[in-house]
Amino acid sequence: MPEEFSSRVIFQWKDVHKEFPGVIALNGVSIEINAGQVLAIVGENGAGKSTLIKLAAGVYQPDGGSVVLDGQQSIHNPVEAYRNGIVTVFQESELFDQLSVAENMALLKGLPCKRFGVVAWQQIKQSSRHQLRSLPEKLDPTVNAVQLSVAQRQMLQVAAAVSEKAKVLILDEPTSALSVKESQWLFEQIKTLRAQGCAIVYISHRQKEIFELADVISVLRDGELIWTKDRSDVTSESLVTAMVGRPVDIESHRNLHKPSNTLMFRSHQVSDGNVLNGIDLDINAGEIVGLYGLIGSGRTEFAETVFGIRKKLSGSIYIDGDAVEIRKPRDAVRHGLAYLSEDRLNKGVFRWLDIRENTVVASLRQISKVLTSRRDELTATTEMGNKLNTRYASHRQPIETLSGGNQQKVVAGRWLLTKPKVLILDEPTRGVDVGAKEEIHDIIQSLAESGCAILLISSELNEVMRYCHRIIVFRDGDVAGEVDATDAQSSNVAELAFPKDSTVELSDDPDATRPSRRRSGWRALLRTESALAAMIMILLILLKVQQPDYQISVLLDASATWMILGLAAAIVIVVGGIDISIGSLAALSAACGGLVLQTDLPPSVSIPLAMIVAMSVGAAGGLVNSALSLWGNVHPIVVTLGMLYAYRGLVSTIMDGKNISNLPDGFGNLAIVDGFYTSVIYGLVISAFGFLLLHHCRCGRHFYAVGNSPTAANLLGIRKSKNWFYAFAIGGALVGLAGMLQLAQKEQMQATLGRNWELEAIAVAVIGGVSINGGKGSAIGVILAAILVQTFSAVLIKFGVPGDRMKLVIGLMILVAVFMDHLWNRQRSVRPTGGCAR
Amino acid sequence: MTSKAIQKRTNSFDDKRIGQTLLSYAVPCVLLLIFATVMFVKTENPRGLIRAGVQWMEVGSVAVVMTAIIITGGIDLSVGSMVALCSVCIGVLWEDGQLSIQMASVCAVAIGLVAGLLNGLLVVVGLSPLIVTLATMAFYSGLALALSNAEPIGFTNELVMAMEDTNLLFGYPLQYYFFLIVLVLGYLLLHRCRIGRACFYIGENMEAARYSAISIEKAQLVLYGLSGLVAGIVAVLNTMYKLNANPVAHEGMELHVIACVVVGGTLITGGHGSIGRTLLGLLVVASLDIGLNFLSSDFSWLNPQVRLILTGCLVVAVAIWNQKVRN
Repeated sequence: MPEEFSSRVIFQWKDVHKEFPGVIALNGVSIEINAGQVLAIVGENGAGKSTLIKLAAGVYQPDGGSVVLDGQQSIHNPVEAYRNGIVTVFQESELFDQLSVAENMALLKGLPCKRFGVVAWQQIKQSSRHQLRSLPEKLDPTVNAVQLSVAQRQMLQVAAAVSEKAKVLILDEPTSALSVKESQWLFEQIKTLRAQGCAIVYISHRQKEIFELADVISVLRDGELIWTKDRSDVTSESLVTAMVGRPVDIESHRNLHKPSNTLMFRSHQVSDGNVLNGIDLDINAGEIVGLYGLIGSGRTEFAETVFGIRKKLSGSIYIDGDAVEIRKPRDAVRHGLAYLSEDRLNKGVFRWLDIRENTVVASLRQISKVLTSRRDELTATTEMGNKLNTRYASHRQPIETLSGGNQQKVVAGRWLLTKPKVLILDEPTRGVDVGAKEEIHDIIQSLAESGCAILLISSELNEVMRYCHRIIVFRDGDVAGEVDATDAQSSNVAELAFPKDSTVELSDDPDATRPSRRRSGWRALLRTESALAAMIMILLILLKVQQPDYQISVLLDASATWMILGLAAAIVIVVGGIDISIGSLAALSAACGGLVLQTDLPPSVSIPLAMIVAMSVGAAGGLVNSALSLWGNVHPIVVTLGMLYAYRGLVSTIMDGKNISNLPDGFGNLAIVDGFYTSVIYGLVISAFGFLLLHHCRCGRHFYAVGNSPTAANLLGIRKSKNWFYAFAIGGALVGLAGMLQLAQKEQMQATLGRNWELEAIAVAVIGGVSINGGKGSAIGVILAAILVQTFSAVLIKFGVPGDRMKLVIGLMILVAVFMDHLWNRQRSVRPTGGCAR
Repeated sequence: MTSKAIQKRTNSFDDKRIGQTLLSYAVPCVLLLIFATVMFVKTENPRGLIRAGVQWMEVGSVAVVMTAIIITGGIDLSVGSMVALCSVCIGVLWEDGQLSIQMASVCAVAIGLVAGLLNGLLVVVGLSPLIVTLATMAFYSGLALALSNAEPIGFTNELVMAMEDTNLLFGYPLQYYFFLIVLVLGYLLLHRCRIGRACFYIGENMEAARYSAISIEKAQLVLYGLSGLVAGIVAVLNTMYKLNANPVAHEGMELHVIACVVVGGTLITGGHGSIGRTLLGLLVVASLDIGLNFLSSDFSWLNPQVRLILTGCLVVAVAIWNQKVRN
């Protein structure tokens, strides 16, 4: 440790308390870190590690005590933490999927801007290229984050953090998704940073890493600090004892029963055409086979292929002697196969459904005949609960309220109820406390004793060595070897799992192995836009041929309203909302504007005033929509559905059964002056505004960030509520403008103005490439889509098709647009999971 | 922990759950009580009330299937358009296709089923249900307009005479009976059949449902198909009752349907809801509309516009209430 830093305390938690409803997460924890020191925080799941780092990162505020940086500042929010040099790489590193790598890195730094909040794209591009240079593999800064693997995501964040010249770098289990090579890279980065005087907080479950990296080790248990010691004073045993609270025998092998000799499960040359290259694996009845391998070695992929979730390209599977054809999970279950996924949160539990529903989901067919019966299901649930010793208060409890271990037992019970012949357990003890771990292994053993063939996938060497008969080691999608568990040495097994010739792999050109990932996000955008432009050109030529004196300005005049409405819908959808009250809101704004126009004020006053009133009414409507949705926590489609009625009712009340007509003379100029369509100017101005807002303003980019992931945005201090207010208000104001434009074009208004506009506005946005899930789309695409729809309509009219058939065409166009987008995405998303898969 | 302590915790937990459920039903029930009272007090002849209820029975039939779809996390915006399309198809097949009215009806129901299955197919492919049914909403309604040349198709007098008698059964239009059948079948399907139970799992966590060996594609196909089928039958009943096929008469039906489902307390984000709730929602929305309509003879300010505003506010308010109670 460099001497000059070692004595200066740079960061400390001072007697912090943090309470959540029903749980004390932290109780008077004080830890301090010196500059140039690596502090490892260890503890079991639920010990309070995550809470501790979230306090440091400013995500939470302490209920008592304080978080102190450099002896003075207290951290109030994530942005402040970041600005003051506390950089955190969270375990589930959430990126903005539909934004480019470069922009993701820039957002971490608060998006560098030139004056007036204009995003400095040039600078962002250059600095990202610079930061990515240090990575062990090449990464194109223009690809979208959705195309990155888990490992690449974490390395990206570390790289960004390193370049930040952070004072404190917090890493939450950074190696959980990294390959050996990538971990080594990370350790080098950490050592470099330490030499520069950066303090590093390192959270990991892997003892080897802790002893390699840490200067100081702190142990947390049940929200309390047990001790903080120098590494040299800590042994492996004392660490585990402190974590668990009692000495644990982690070395000895269990006394297992002897498995039978009948073959229960066999996979022959199974491959998925991506990760797995022909896996052969046999399991006897009653045997527990451990499957060990690094992340990305194909363990989970193998299980998913066998279970019918991934497509099997070749090979065959035999269960109990019969060859079985498994195309989907249903087939697998029918043949007596069960698979407990490693990802409990996303692929295991139904969080808000109760324990009974979570238990019986896979065995409804076995439990009841035609009609399901609550009583039978309860019997089964209780039986499983007793068998597995699951602790819960009531079977009506949502599974969300259980601890990790009990959740895992419920999910395990789900599969036991299907009476499997072969059970595949993927990391069954991940995120489970030590006591429950033992219980789960007892259950596995008794299952095996009753004749079930078990495949236990684990990345913990101790686990497979201790609880299995045999260990199969996977490496790079192949079986690297097989070890008998009783005489296995951990070094043998590990040696098999780690790629030996890592130096050769380092020189591999990543471009050669991952060709499908090399596509640029910008090129993808251009694709939509150029397709739209090409279609417009074709239709225009058709029009011109049919009628040589056709004026394009007529077309643009008709498109102007739709450009504005399409952009309004797009802005709201990009931020993650949706507004189906657009038509009613347009009518309401126009009606209010119309009232102003009908007063006795001179036109020079009343026209601008009317415009302002209409746009304000629109913005207010948008604000009401977003406020109700945010405050009530109700999906915006429900809120705007209600407001659609309400605004329309208001329109009729205001207009009181009469049309708005006899508008002042000058008002028509809004649409047309001496044969020149002024509305075109409005359309173009608003288009330019939309383009600049969405692509070159910090505000607009924040809309995208929120639309991609509100939680990740919140961590960066980009608040969902604020951005929703802005987006809905801007959208509303545009809708108001569109209403006035329509009033000017038609020169009068009926109460039905704007009917079905929501359909067409959303259609224009979707055809223009805006994703209904938020966070994706371009202003140019929307503008082109508006023109395309109008051109199509003009062509239809020219060919004598009545105008109302346009609906049919719009419907088809939406379908074609989303279908193309879907195909395009699917083609791109074929990517290996895990870190070092190849 | 002793068993007694567990028992105690169980009870308190169950009490809380029951309290929550009661609270979530409270607002719609109180509203229902008020509006239903108004409705029954103000009505002078029961025939008028029955007639006013017919369109709500149609909405309710569609809402039953919509409930299941919304529980899966999906939505079907094309129901109104499907009713319009099927309705127009009867007219066109009868008028231009020279089919008997019975044959035309069967064909129309089949067309509804096909339209629904098409929605289901597109959803199964992986497209967003919101966008798919928004597109088919435009498409089907465009088709209905094109087939009918945007004109209502009326039936000839002989047919009208023949139909007058069959339209009512024990004094009630057939829509009432159809709604009851759909309600019972819908309850059995959603709460007592595997495919209905699958809806809750799919809506709560689609990935976990896939990993739990639930056939997501089958459920989606069946649900959207059923939605089309029910829309087709509603179209037949409606056409027979009104004795004309109007391509624009059903515009906005999807909004009424969704309003009923949401007011009942089914979550629009999926995973939670029931047929009983939708029945309650339907009764609230229908009695509000009918009750206020009857009241408007006494209070001139209760014109249709104000009723529209009230309906809109009710949907938002009840949705927010349900969400607040749940948290």
